[in-house]
Amino acid sequence: MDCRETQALLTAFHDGELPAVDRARVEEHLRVCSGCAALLAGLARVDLVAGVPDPGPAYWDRFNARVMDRIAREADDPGVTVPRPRRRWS
Amino acid sequence: MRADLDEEKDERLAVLAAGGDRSAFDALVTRHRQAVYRLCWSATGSAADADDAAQETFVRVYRSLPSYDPARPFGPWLRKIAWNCGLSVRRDGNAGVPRIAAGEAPEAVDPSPGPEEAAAGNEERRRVADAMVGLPAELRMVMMLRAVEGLSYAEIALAAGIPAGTVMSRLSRARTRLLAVLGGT
Repeated sequence: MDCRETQALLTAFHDGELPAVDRARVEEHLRVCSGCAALLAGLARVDLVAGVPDPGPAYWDRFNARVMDRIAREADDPGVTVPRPRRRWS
Repeated sequence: MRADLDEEKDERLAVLAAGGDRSAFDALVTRHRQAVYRLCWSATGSAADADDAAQETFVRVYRSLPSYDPARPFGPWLRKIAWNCGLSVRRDGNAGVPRIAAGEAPEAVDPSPGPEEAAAGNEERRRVADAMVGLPAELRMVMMLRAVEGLSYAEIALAAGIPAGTVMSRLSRARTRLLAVLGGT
């Protein structure tokens, strides 16, 4: 297996989604190719830092109550669209 | 949240909630709110829109519970609603909702070993978060579902309504772009 073929399968390899036969072939190439091995390490690094900024505990403390409030307002007047907040939440 | 609901499966909670049990609905919201928020963030690329879409998701779930079939898994059903809400908020043009850039949003606590490593890690996170915002929504979605939620290709395919092969190609494109931001290519 060459670099081009390996790199086409690298994402699925990284995610553990390759069939055993292909997985073994990719592993064999990675043992002798530092470039593809570095690319694989890069995929893991991307995943590690690809999270979503968490809004914080104060946001989650109020989340359920805001949902229930929105449901109650729509139930009171189903013809009215609940307006979106105009202030930034914190 | 009622302690006796902690161990209940989602599908059972949904049935209880459809029958008017507010505690069961509250338990469902608590259990899934962070995943829904992350998915909405991946659809909209902004914290304020993600908030609006996440709230709307649970309102729609509440309204749809009477027609929910507990024989179907709750997770994919919820994720589909969340994704549609995210896209809908984005299409609405965000009227009245101030946008918050990824760099301004609060950061999660990162227990790194030292301040210099923590600073470097946070800088990488900031750069990738900014790059994630710049990704097309369909790439952001698969990236989020795989890298953050840990779903399999089959589960992502179900949530996104695309073939598993497309999941792989979109993931590959997303990671290539993000890796370039980190200076890895």
